[in-house]
Amino acid sequence: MSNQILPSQFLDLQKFVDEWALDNEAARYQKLHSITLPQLKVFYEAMLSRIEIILPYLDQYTISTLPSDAKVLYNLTMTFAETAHPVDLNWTDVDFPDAYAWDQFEFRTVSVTG
Amino acid sequence: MTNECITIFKGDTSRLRNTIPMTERLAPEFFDEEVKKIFSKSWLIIGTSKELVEKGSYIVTDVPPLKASLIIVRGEDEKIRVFRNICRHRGDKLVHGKEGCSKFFQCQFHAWTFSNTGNLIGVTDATQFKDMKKDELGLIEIHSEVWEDIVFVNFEEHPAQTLKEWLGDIYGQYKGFSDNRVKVADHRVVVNTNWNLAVNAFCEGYHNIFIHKNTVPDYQGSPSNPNRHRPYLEVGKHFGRYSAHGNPNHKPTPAEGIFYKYSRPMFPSFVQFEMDKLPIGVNPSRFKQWAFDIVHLFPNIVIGPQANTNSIMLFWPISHNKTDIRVMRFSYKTDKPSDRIAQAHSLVRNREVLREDLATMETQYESIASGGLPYMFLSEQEQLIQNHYRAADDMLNEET
Repeated sequence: MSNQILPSQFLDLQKFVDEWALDNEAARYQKLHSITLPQLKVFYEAMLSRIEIILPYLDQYTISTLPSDAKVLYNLTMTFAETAHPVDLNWTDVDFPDAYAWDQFEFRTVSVTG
Repeated sequence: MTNECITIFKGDTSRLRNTIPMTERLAPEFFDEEVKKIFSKSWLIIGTSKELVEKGSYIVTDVPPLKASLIIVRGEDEKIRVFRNICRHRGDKLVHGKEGCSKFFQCQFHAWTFSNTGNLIGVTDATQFKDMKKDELGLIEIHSEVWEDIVFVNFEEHPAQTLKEWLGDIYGQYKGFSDNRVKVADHRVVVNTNWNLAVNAFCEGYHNIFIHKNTVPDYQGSPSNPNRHRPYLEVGKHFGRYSAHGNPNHKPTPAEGIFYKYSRPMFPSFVQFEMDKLPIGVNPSRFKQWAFDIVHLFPNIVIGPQANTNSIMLFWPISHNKTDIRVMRFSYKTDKPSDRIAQAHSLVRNREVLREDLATMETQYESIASGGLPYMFLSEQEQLIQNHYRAADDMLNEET
């Protein structure tokens, strides 16, 4: 993953790429459940502050024609979309009390990638 | 005048009971009866034709209560068929993978070969078989019908009813409801509970105000519907359905609000829209602040039509106390990055809601299985559950 580079105007987010630019739901879910809430908040705050610049930037392209640097940004944003809820909902942890065991989920094939 | 949403109740409610003794229903012997009299005779969903676009594309799936492995395949003639995943020679499993695309299936045991339309087309060392009639040795086909991209099967040799007869009036009410949508999520989880309790958890909306407070605290109801009554609720012979009230005052969370601003709002945000083009079975009462519908197809299926997305949940009993739950979510086809990002956010919110439901199913099973509860006592808002047990008892009481 270390050779993944973001588009130049998003290099402030480059420090998150190795850990957070993940290309499937299972990996993002695993990531969420392997970190602490303070760690998640650092990523969340950084992404939230830039998201309204990121989305129009990505939408210059279609998913199937994303250049490689924009693809990295897309994966980073997909991870944000799938890990934002604990902070968004003011949880006190990355999971909520009495949640069904997160590691029991099996992720199967879907028709779309990413 | 009370400050309440009045539910429109539809359908034949005769013989519905609001008290359901449950202990006996959770016993292993009872489950054996359910397999024999319900699962062996009902129309069951095993997958969707969306995953079978090309000729020869196939999926292998299993039907746990009947211990069956099935191949769903689009043949060279474009027709979708369902076969038992069994080689006709000595019964080994024919396909060992999960999916693929091929003109033929070849058994790895002795290399018998079958076409993707089920015919036996190749036998190794064939001269050593006496009186072989290849046309009698094709793959064993299970009755199947495709309804709105959804593949149903019926394991009876001669099904008592066609799928159309089984579904009744609703058969023609969902035309195109899932057209142009692709599968965006497919989750499976095996839960320590009885399948009836698992499917019941999705057959009422009474719980959502309490159980879903962590994940979607304000997605349903409104000041005019503080108890989040169902605006519409209907029961039929093999189905029950209701509509849910989307809260017009829902406050999107910070990220949710931005994702949907650049794409289309989805769960848990519900916006009003022109409903003329919805099939008549979707939001049947055309409730303005519509969130989604829940359609329970007896015995073990829950379909969730919604604007911009829909889901299929299958609750497969493995045994009396283990249920294989499979949740497939679909959303509109798109190649726009912000659309996929919004869809991903929505399906994760849904996944977390599901994790709240799952926790309850296991504790409820343990309590009832202890024998400590004389009966469940059900509200009118829980009529789909009452209907589930009416349908179950109708089949269980049928003479065989």
